[in-house]
Amino acid sequence: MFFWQLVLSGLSIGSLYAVVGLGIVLLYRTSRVLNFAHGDLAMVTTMIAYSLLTSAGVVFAGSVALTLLAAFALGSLFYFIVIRPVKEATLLGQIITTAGFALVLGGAAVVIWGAGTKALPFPLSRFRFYDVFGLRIDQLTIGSFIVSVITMLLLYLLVQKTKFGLAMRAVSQNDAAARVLGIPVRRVYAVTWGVSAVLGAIGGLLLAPVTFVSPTMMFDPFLKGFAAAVLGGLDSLPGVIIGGVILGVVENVFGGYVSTAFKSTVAFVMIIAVLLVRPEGLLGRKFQRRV
Amino acid sequence: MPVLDLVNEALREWINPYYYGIFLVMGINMILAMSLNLVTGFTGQLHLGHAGFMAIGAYTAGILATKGGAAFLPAVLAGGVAAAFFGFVVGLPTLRLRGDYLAIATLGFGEIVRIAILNLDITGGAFGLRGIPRLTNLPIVIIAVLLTYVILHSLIRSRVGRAFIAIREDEVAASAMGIETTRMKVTAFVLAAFFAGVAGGLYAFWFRFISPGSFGFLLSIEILSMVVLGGLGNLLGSVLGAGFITYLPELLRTSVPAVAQHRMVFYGALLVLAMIVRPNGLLGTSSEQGWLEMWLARRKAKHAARGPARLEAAAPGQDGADGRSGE
Repeated sequence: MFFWQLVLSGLSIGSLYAVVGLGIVLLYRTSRVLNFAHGDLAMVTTMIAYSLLTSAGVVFAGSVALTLLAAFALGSLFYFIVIRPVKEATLLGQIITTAGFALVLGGAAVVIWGAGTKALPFPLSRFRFYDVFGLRIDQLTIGSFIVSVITMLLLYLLVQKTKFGLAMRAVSQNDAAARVLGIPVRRVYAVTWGVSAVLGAIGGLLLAPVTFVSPTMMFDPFLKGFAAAVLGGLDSLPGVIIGGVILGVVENVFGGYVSTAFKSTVAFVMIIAVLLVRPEGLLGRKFQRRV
Repeated sequence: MPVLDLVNEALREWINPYYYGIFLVMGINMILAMSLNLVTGFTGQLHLGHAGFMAIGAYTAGILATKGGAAFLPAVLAGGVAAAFFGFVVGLPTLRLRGDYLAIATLGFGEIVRIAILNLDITGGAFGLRGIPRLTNLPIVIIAVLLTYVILHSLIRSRVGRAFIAIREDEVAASAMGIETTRMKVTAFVLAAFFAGVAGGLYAFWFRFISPGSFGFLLSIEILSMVVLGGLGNLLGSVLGAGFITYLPELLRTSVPAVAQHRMVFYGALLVLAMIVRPNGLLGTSSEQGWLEMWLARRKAKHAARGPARLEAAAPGQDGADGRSGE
């Protein structure tokens, strides 16, 4: 029973890793930029939600809507202000740029909101339990699992069933050809950055009741999202979901039976192992070098 | 070594203790920055966990000295070797792939090291490791900096170093020229880890107390800022960058304390700006051009085009062509 309890909570936290990882993968697929500011963007938007809920006194649903809008704006703004000017830069240059932006966001959060830890008022409780097939599950776990699944479904519809999703896939295949075909490539990139930031914000909001709100709250989940992405294949959307769930479950079971202190290291040991055996990840396409 | 002690005595007489300490830390940072530059600047692989290797060196040296009674030089070298070993373990699987995997793996590795140090008994956990004798002094650090510079400089001038640079410029082309790219990248990475480990050992024997908090992600970024500021692919630049970034907080501490306190924002902005304006840093050697170079080149082209164009102004349509060449 203890084992299934661990699996169940692992599933829930894993789905959150998947949501965070989806933002990373979506962006990577489309623009080949690995965004090291993904976690800090999510943190800043969660901070915005905190301010809206506490000092501004906006109702929860309204705060969430405003926060997601802010996330979208921040993400696409970052594309226009910072990424576009360095578009010609090498891979190294792009990663350094996003890492630098992460520092700026983290520092700005300390200046604006302070370095302390705050509690985000959240409508779901960690301490109200339900009985499902003899397992005890708290309200928050169920809630975050359901929200993550809905998020994934919506993203699936966006990428696979809309015209915009088609444009996104076209740009990720070959952006020069997409441009020739009349796809507004720049707008596609900007919207992708926005959607990616919204995914991060959803992850941040759902994690806030567990990790509390602080400038460093997203560092660990962001690394886990990355791990999930590498595990599943950096360019596969279903891959990152599977990777996130596997990661959440394995990590939780390891934490329950072996060692809580070393729980966080599981993710990286798994990354290294996967890279040794199957570098393209579980569902990723085989590596092709474009010359 | 009696000669070094004598020199040290003289230096201590001559430099006030505050600056003595700053110079010493500067020297350690110079070693860290030069070694990171080997991986990131010369070989073109982003490495975000240099502080982790420094931590391994520091703890290995510290534990050997306090629990094993090891002497200074063997302890510091053992720290370097231990760091190099972990560099090999992390580098081998990740460096076979595209550069971004190394960035993720090293970022994660830095975290693993921190968590491991925090939870192991032998490292003293969160309380840190105490009672390391103070055996590092300024002359030793200066010698270490010079040795690092000379070794890395001659390495870069060698066949292996040229291979590193070829990988940075174009990995596919390098491999087509017969360079074993993975092996070369791992070599650069392991060497950098060794020097970071040595720097960690020097650090441990100077501060006498080390704790996991001293080697976090932010230190890795601080070292990266030194490298980027000084120039990717320029050893001397790293030395200057390390000197500047080490001294800056000290300088700002009294005049603008707010900036010194939030210096990570400054480093972040510096990295972004450097990538936009001058991707190779102040003294970089990579062939890549930033806005500044492009703008200068454009201006130059414009001037060059304007000269002869004026002479042939009579020719119809010349003005339009001239205008376009300035774009």
